[in-house]
Amino acid sequence: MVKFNTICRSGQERSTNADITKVYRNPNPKVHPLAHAREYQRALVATKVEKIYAQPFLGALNGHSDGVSCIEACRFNLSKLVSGSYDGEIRIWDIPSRRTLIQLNAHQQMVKGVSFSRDGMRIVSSGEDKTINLYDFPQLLEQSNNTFQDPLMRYLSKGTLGNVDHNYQLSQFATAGQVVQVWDYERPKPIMKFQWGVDSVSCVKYSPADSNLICGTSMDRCVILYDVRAESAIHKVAMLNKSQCLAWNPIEPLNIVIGNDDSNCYTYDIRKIELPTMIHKDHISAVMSVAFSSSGREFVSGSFDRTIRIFPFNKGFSREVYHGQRMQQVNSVSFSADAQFVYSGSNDMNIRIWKVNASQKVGIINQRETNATNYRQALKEKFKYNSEIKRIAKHRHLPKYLMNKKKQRQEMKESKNRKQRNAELNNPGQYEAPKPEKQQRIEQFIQ
Amino acid sequence: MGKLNKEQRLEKQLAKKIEKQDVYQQIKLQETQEDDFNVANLIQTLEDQGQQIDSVKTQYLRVQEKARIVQEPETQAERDQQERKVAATVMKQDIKKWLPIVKKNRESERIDFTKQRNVQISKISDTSNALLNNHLGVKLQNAMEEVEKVEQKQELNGQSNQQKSNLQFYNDLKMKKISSIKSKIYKQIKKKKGNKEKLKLMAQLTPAERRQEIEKLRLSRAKERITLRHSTKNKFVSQLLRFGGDKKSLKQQQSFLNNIKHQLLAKAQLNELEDGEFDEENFREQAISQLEQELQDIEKREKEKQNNFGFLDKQKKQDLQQSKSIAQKLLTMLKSGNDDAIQLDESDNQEQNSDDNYEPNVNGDKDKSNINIENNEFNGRANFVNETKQLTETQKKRIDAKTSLSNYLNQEPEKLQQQNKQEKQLTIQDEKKQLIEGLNIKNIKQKYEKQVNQKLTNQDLKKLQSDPDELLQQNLANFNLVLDEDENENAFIDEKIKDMEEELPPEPANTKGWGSWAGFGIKEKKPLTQEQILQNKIKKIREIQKKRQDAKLDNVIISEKRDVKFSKYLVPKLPSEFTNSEQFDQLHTLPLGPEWNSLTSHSALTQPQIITKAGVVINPVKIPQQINKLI
Repeated sequence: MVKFNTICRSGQERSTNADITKVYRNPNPKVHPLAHAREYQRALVATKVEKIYAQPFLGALNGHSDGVSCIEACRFNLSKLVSGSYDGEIRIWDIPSRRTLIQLNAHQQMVKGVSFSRDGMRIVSSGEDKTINLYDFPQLLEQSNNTFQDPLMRYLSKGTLGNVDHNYQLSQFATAGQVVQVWDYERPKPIMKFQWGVDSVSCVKYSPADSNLICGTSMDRCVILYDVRAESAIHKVAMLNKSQCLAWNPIEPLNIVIGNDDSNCYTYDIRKIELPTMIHKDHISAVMSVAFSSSGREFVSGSFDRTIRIFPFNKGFSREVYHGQRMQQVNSVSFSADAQFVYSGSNDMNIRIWKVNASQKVGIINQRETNATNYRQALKEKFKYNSEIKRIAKHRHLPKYLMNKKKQRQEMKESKNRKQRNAELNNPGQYEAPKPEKQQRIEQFIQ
Repeated sequence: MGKLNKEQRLEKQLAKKIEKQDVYQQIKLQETQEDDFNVANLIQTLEDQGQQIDSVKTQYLRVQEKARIVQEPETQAERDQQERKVAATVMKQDIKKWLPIVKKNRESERIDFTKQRNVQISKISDTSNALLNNHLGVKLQNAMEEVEKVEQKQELNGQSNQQKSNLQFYNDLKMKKISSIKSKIYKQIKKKKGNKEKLKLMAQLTPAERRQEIEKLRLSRAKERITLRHSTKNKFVSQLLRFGGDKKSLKQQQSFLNNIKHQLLAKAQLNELEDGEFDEENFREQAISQLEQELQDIEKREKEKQNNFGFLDKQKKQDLQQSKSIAQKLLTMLKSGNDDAIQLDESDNQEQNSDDNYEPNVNGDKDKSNINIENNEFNGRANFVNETKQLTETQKKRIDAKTSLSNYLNQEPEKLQQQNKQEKQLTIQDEKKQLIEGLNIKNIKQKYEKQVNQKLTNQDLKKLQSDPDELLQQNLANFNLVLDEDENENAFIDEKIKDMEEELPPEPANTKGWGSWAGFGIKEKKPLTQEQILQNKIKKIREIQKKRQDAKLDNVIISEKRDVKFSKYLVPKLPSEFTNSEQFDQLHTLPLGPEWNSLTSHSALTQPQIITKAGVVINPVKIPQQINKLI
């Protein structure tokens, strides 16, 4: 007997790749009366699922022995981060492994600011001890165990110093302080000085797109714009409260965001700096630090109220709020260069790593997954005005002290408005129409 | 020698210099001696001249002050301010370079930060430069120049066309302005003018054409009226719908035939009474001629233009066919001289009915004739005419038949009962037929005719014996449901009012003393009477009615209640980003899912606005090289 092993195929199997069974659909909306309802349900599920999978906190970098005063992520290398603390220590971190690469006892007093050069090769730091240190990164790596390494250059400032910011294109950096100074690598003395008024400047930032423009916030409640080419300030605007920090929009170099002590952030257009274009509200205490995403579409702010908030660049209220039970006042925040992560340095000696999109999966995502998430996002966007979905998407769990404070502020605002309204009603003709809020916050524009 | 010479020369030069100095001093001395040139002297001379000294002094002071202002050094603050102003103007100019980039980013549907853009632009610019250096580039340029020349020529030709179009545009503008005039007087004048022109045109036309024109006008009006919403209750339209045209004209048409028949009858009767003889030939000739005329008229009407409304035309046709068939039947009958043409048909029906009777006909021929005669009394117009003709020929026969019938009745009372049954049956059928004839509704007619033509079974007959009116009543009720418009309308209005009553706020419980003041000297209010309460209610309902959407729509009830279940799919109010609801709907009605879209469109619809990727560094914005070169 002979047995043959025959080839057999079931009906469902395809003989070749080409014979695909086509599915024909009727696109006429009359044939699909339930499309809207089904999509609504999907959107609802998507919002709920997003809430369930929202785990923004990725991890903490601990090692500093005092509160972290300043941090900055490298603009070139995604894995590097530099931080300075109140005890004058500087640490350079490797984020994927979450360990310190280099530890430096750089300053004798608090580190006021740290900054990477555009290529990630140089690090500048300024301290309260009136010194500015310039480090060479490869050189530091060579002797990574030595905590008392000498810097490549050490610059001495006559006056007190604020933060330091490296130029994005040139080998220059600017420091805030009693006088705003622009330094060159090769010169022991500042190549440029700006002084306008008596009070010192707390924070300066170079425009990432235009290396000639510097913006600063001063202790006399002003926001000042400097031009390096003309070697002079351009104009300043005095606000009601002092501003601590600022950030330039890297994609739209006309706009800056300022973190104010009145717990708001303000967006200014430098063409018309007389009035802010937008007020971003949600914090309940002074904003200590702001940083723009490299996509230019959102910015992150760290506040004295122990929270981090992510604001869309064109919305008045925050999209996201991050807080932790052990996280104290946030001194500094920074965005990663690929706009995926946020780093925060706080008074509790830790640097924390957060996801920008709380429910986003970290790691390799295949195409089908991205398509599905895109669809979910699009649905959420489509149905964001429906009350139920809006409510769920908007809801955030907040600690008690925040909730109470928020309620209190709301009540205060309402009562103030009520008082104003009643006064107007009872004394007709005596009151002028109240100024818009943007105008109220501005004291003076000086040219 | 040389040395000596040198010394000598020096001496000579010195001597010359000294001489010169001496001369100068001498001259100076001479001058001073001649006139003392001092400020005091100058002023003295001026004083001598008059009072001009003061004006000079003031002028001098002014000049001095001006000089001081010009020469005075600025303060540091002022200098800084000026610098700042200059810097600001420079910065504002410089910043403009970002505007197109920012604008483009903001307007673009999505920004993909995972791609590098600047590279492509630089490549294009490089290639374009390289092209210009080659022969190909030169050729291209020449070709472009030629194309430009041709275009210039075309422009010249186009100028005349442009003039025309300009004129037309001007005319359009003018017409627009005229159409926007709102004054009534202007419109009246315009209308009068238009009417005059129309009349002139009409006067030029032949009468036949004129009729056609008028018919067209009527048609257009009818169309307008019918297309108007809820104006179908209009008298004109309702008549159109009911009678397929003017009620009067239709009635005239229908009565025309009847009149002829009546006239014929009357003539026949007269002849009968006067002479006892009937001039058959004359009568026939007259009748035939009249009937022929009638047929011609009907044919004409059939050929006439149709109303363009299907249902109206059908009805007209039916009516005409009916009258035609009757007229043709009469004609054939009169021409042939046989009166049996119609009689036979009816007798067939009778036979059908009589076949079902389970009691057999005992009297053969006699009975049949009797039944015929009796049936003739109940049947319609055609039979009535037939009777007259029978009279002439079979007068005596008929009388005989009557007498024989009476005899028969006397003889057999039992059979009479049976006959009565038959009579009842027939009366019912006739009444039904009459009902149908009065109503020109095709469907109901057919439906009802079926019922009429149904063969009665034994059970039915038994039923009829018990109460014969039952079936009739049932059918009449059906008719009322469909046909009695007034009742239907009333019911609808009642429903509407009920709906409005539900909207009324609940009445407070009428407890005495509540909601009124109490105490000494207060007059007690009389409670409202039932009439007052009703009137109040009616008032409230009327107020509600005004607010309702269906206030002016008699035959419509629009429910304004909101479905709670559905509300979750809707947005409570229009978001501030949108100007109107249509805009919002347009953006939000489109389904995004793969079930309702092709895969490509699904992926395109669901792409996020900003595409970033973990691990891809996003650099700050840069000015493209081309623009940078220009700057």
